[in-house]
Amino acid sequence: MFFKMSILNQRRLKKFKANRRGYYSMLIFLFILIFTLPAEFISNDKPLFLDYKNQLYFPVVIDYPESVFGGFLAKTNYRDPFIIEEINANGWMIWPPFKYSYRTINKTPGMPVPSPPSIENPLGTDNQARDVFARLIYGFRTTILFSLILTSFSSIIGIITGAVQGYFGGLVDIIFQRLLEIWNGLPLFFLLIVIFSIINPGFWILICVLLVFSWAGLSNVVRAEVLRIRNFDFIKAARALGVKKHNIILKHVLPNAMVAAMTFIPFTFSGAVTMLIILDFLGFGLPAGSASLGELLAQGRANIQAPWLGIVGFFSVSITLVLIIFIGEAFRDSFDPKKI
Amino acid sequence: MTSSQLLTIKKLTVSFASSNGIIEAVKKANLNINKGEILALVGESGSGKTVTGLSIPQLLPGNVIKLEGSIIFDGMELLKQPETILRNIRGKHISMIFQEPMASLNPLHTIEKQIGEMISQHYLLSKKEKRARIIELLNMAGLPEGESRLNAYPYNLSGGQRQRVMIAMALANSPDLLIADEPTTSLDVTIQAQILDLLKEIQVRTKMAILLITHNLSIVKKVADRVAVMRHGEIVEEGTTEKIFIRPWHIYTKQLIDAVPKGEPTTLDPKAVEIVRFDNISVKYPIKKGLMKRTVDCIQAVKDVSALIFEGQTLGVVGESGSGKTSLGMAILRLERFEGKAIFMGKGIHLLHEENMRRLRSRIQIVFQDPYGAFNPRMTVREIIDEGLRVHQPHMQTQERNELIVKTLIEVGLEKDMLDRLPHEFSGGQRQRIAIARALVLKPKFIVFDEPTSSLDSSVQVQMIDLFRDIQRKYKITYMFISHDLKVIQALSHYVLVMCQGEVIEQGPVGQIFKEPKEPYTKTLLAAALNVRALSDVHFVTG
Repeated sequence: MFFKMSILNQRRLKKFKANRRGYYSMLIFLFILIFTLPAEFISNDKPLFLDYKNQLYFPVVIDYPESVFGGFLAKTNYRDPFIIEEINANGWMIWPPFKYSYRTINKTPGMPVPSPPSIENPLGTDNQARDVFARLIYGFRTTILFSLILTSFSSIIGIITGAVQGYFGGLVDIIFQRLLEIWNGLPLFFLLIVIFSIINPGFWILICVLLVFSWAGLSNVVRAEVLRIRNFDFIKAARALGVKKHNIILKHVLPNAMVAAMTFIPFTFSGAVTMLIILDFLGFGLPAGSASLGELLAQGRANIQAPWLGIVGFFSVSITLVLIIFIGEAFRDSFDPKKI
Repeated sequence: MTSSQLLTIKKLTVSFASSNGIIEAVKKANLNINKGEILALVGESGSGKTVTGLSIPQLLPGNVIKLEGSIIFDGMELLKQPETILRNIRGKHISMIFQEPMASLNPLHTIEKQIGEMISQHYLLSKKEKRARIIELLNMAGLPEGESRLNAYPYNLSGGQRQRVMIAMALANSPDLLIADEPTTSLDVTIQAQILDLLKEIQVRTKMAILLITHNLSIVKKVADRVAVMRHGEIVEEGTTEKIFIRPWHIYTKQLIDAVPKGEPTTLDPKAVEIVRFDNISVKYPIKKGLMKRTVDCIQAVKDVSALIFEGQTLGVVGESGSGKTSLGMAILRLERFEGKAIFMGKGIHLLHEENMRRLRSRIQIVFQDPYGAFNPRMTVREIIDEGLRVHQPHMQTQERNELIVKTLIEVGLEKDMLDRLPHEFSGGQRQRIAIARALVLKPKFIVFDEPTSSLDSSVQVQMIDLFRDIQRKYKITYMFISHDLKVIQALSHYVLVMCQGEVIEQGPVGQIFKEPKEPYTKTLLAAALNVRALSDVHFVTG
């Protein structure tokens, strides 16, 4: 069933492909995503694998104490010239294409930080001598994964609550609606800033807190759509056929309401991206030291003398958002029943 | 071109680009409209009559890819004319009125502002002069209390009044040609008759020409001087109304004229048992207000209706929109809350427990008016027909189930290979057949038909009525047939309820209601529906 696409979906796919701007944006976006998803294997300060005294090691996956290679640290620092020399003398090692992790400090004595782009650091380093390109790869991945998770959860909650309100209507709907109105009236950013200055957010806490506020928009869309569909004759016909209530919701109402939800989701996604960037920019987002696009922007602002930070931050954020919005538009249009 | 010709269309071809390729909506159509005449352009849906009408003032939608031929209006070629010149012609020399008056009026502006705008597009008048002219126009359009209507908004008016405002707007600049695209289709029969009389009267008084686009031949008979018949984008026949109705030569014209619901209801069985009994049925819709939506009042859609229906017979329910006839149908299916008693085959539907009612539903089925909204657009025909079977015959084998679905599908006049198509791939008539198959597969005893033919073309309507009658004869199914179309009712019903504002004002056997109506309302209704026919009987005895 999953592989056999319905005629409707085939048409949608065709229409999505016909929107060239959206289609190519999708290809570029997917390419970047596939490139950044295995970030540890693309850009890291540990070798992918190494051969030391005829034994294979996988430093990216497993942490080895330095004693293995004759050092004394609890975790091996593979950038230590002593270790490099030791391993190369007793075997070989293969590095990822870029030799920096997002938190690798690459301090060359005598060089001021942030340092400008060079062969070693293609996009320069930031104010803590960390490679900007590596941070970009990791930051993009974090942003996209964060937004994907946030969007999926908030969509699930939004669709369920919307469907319940719309289908049952009456008192359930009224109570929900009043609740949502109060909820939407809360000053979101102010609250987030207050919350995050009390608790120190991690990746998951951040998702949970944002989730509390982000489901309401979709819930309203689904509710309106369900209210509309509920009045169609085919719902009455199903009732006249004696179909049970939950089957009517699952078979008739939800699949048809999903079309509206689907068109909304890409924009929830871009909203989540923006939200994370803003919070990181303000310093209320992911914990200090994490790779993030917002933090890169903040550094760019703080270091006007190092324009590469601001430029990289600006272009990475704007290109990401533009791609997502183009994809979202194409997605929305391909679901528009009037244009099929 | 003679001096009496107002508009000459020659070899007009219009094509559209659509997702399914190029659609040739109008193919080399030729048409003449003389000064001061009413020309009816007749055809079924999709015949290109509206496109022809829209191409005169060049109001075609943006996806036109081919527009050829010539349209000469009053000695001037309109095709390929720049927008500035066309704008001067539109509204001043050529006006239009459309089918749906609510959608054609701006809901946020008063009547005065909307009519006034039409005038100031072309003439400069002082405020006082303009107001006087608006009141004059409203009077002409049959809204005599024009002065008090000036500040009304479209939602303050009824459908008929809105159409009158549209007519007043169209007449604002005394045009030479009025294009009326299905002007009465969305109105009730009695209002329809009034609007047509008005159009005829205005035409006689102002000597303007009217291009009347319609699918309804009774309207044509009533008002048109000449008729052009359109089919698949081509004009197949053109002539005086008398000639078209008495001596149509094109086979399609003959079909159209014959496409009037005919025949008698099935023969009555005097020993038929009672199937459905309504006892003082009332349906109320609450009006809710305030923050917590408390019920402050209610609208009574159906008031104390009682009726009896016997096995194998049809109860026709007649009434105008808002008369409560659909609510009554929904009540017997328990798709609507109601008060009173509804007895079906000895069981009190009003008393049944939810689960028992659900089981009983295979015996009571419904066919809806709108064949587009009646199906889940994501389900194939097979799934649609199968749905009820799965509920009521959960243990039936797939093989057996499939055979039953195919048998039913063939029974209603569809083919086996249509099973895996989606509803939007069918025409309106075919969809209505699917709806019947969905009901019929459950072997019901009673079917409620809610205006099942009103959105169909007349030729399809006739086929559907024959199908309904055949099924009734074969399976002895009892019908409740809700319709505003008296001809359809006459062709199918044994017993008729006439409803007005929720109440039954007259009921009786079909012959009695149609021949000797007692109530004045029934008389008006019959006059509005059959007046046209009386005219045709006198003037155009087909032979």
